[in-house]
Formats: sequence, structure tokens, C-alpha cells
Amino acid sequence: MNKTTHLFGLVTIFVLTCLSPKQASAKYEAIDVKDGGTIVGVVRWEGEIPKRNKLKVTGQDKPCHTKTLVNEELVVSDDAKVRWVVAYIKKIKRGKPFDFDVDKPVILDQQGCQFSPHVALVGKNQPLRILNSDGVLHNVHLYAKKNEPFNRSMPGELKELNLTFNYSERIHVGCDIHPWMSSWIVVAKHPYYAITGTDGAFRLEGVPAGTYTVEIWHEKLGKMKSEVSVTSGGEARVEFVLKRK
Amino acid sequence: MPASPQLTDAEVHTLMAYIREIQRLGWLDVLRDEFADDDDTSLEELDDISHMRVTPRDPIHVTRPKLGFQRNLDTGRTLYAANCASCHGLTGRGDGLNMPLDEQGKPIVVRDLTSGEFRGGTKVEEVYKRIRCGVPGTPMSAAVALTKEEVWQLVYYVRYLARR
Repeated sequence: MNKTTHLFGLVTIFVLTCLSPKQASAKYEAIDVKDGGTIVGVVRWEGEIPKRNKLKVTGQDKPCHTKTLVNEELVVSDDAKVRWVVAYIKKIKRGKPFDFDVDKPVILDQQGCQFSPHVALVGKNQPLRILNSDGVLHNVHLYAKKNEPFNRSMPGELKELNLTFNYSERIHVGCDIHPWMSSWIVVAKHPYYAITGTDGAFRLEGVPAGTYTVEIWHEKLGKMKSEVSVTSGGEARVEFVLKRK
Repeated sequence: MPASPQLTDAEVHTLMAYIREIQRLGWLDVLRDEFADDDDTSLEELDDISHMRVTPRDPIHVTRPKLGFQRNLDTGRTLYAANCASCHGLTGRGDGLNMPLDEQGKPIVVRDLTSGEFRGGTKVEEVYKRIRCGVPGTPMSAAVALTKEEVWQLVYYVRYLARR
């Protein structure tokens, strides 16, 4: 009988399991990329520009009523560029190392009863810091499927919660107290991930020369992919066109 | 479910390992379904995750509050209003939220704390555990931000609500 089983047997009542993830095996190999190329992409919208709905805000919490909240799910600019699209190279085996600074965590704030940013990009094992600028009770509910599901209450006086993730996945985040709150945490497998801004653009830099598949993902519109050839020091352009499903 | 005192400790441990393996295979099934269309996810990764899901973590032992701990209903009420009332309602009848949903997005009934029946048990240690760790799969989150003493005040306040 191994030690953990034995220990488990000894502890009989009032015992529970909390989170302590172990290291997952990494497949991506970090190399020194000399004279890497850049993938420059843009995500356009085809068809009538969708309107952003007002969110139905309920309850008495003051910070939730400071301004009109609008849906962040599908954000298309007047010149038809799609925001909050995640772009990444598929199945890249080797490339530049993760260059994040462990002292500078990715921030996911709860402000005005909305998550900010709407899509947060974090590397495997990179710290994510969840803030509560509102100072009211929130609960941070991560619907993780590979990583441990996470649901912790965050009273107004608790200013931050820190998390790390062992597996790459897209995690929906909600707050059960304010059901309109919604965001996504994207845990990157390798450094070649980006999120489009209001201009619908993204850049993947330091890519070793070669042919790759670039994939995009949007929470409402799903996935799309495209082949891209990257040359040393060159700039490869790629365009995606999304429309209503 | 009857007690099985005829089993030796070693047999119980073997049984536990077997049950855990059944549970792991169940997890693996769920994960394979979930990621069936995801060509970025390897079976090896899912296998790894399934092992993690059933591996016991560090246990938390619940100990009664220290000598000199003063139960204070006012403190309990304040903590309750700030941490619990948004879902369970100020009176504890479960009328705080309009439409709470479970992990699958299905409507879920908020426990009426005045009923005196708790799923996780009515002993103070059991209530403590529920508050501290939450209820997985439901909106009931884990109260990690509160001190031990604060959780104990809540435990006694929740029991007071049940007795009224």
C-alpha cells in the first residue's frame, strides 16, 4: 500500500481536499530564435455591424450602477474589426521561451461589476492576480475543465486572489452574485498567443521560419484557421473574416 | 449502505484504491467527451488530469475554536450579511438570488438555512467545512478570505438561524 493511500485511510472525518496542482509535463521546447519572423493578422467582420446589448443589472450593490454596462461578448468596431479574438499558432513544437516576468502577474479586475479585461491571456504557470476594485462581495467562479474548477468568495475587503494554471485551456469566468459578469481566461501553451484589440489586429513575433497553421477562437463565433509561411526576419500577413453563424 | 466491519484495514485500502480507479476512469470518460473535437489536447494530457482529479490533496483538519472564543451573534450577523446573504437571503430562507445556476447552468435551489437540515451535516465541524471549502459544482464558493474565528462566528450564526 503506498504512502498516500495509507495517509488517506488514517484521516477519517472532517477532511477535505483543497487545491494543490502538480506540475504538468511540458511538450513545447524553448529554443533561441535568431532572426525570427512576425505574423501580422487582422480579424474582420462581414455583414451588418452587430449592436452591443445593455446588460441587465440587478441588485443593490452600488458599484454595479455607476454606468451602463454593455455586452463584451461580440465587439465589432464601426470599421468592421473584431475585438477579443484569441489568435495562436497551432501545434508549434519549438520556438522562443515564455518571456513573462513572474513578478508581474496578469491582472483580472472586477470593476463596476464587470471583469476587466474581458479576455485575459496567461501563460502556463504564470501568475494571474484577480482584483476586487469594487469593494463589494463577488465570487470568482472559474469553470475550468482541465485545471481544477475554482470558486472562491471575494468579499469587498479581500483585494486580491492569486492563481496559476497547469494546463492550457480556455476557462469561462463568472460571478454567481452578479450573473451578467462574464470573462475568459486563456491559458497559453506556448508564447505565440495574442488577443485582438479594438482594431481587430494581432501580432505574433519571434517565430522561427517555417509553415504554420494560425488558428483564431472567439467565444461566440468559434474557430477558424489559416496556413501561414514565415520567413526569417520577414512579415507574414493573415486575414480572417468572421460573420454571424 | 451498511457498515462492513468484517473487512480488514488492508482490504478497505484495496477497495478504496479500486473505487478511486473507477472514479478516475469516469473522469477520463467525461474529459474525452469534453475534448473530443479539440485536436490540441492529447489523450496523455487527459490521462494525467484524470489522475490528478482523484489524488487526495493535503487534508484540512477542523478544530474547535480555542478556549476563550466568544460566540457573538452580532459579529455573526454582520459576517453573514456581507458573505452569505446575497444568495441565502438575510433571513436565511434562501431568497437572496433570483436564479442561481449550478455548474451545468441548471437552476439550483439555495439551501434554506432555517430548515435545520444541511446536506453537508449539521455538526459544527461539518458546517465549518462547508463554509471554508464551498460546495463544488454549485455557486457556493469557498470562504478563503475569512479568518478561522470569523468562520466559527458564521457557523454559530447559521446554527442560530436554523434554531429560530
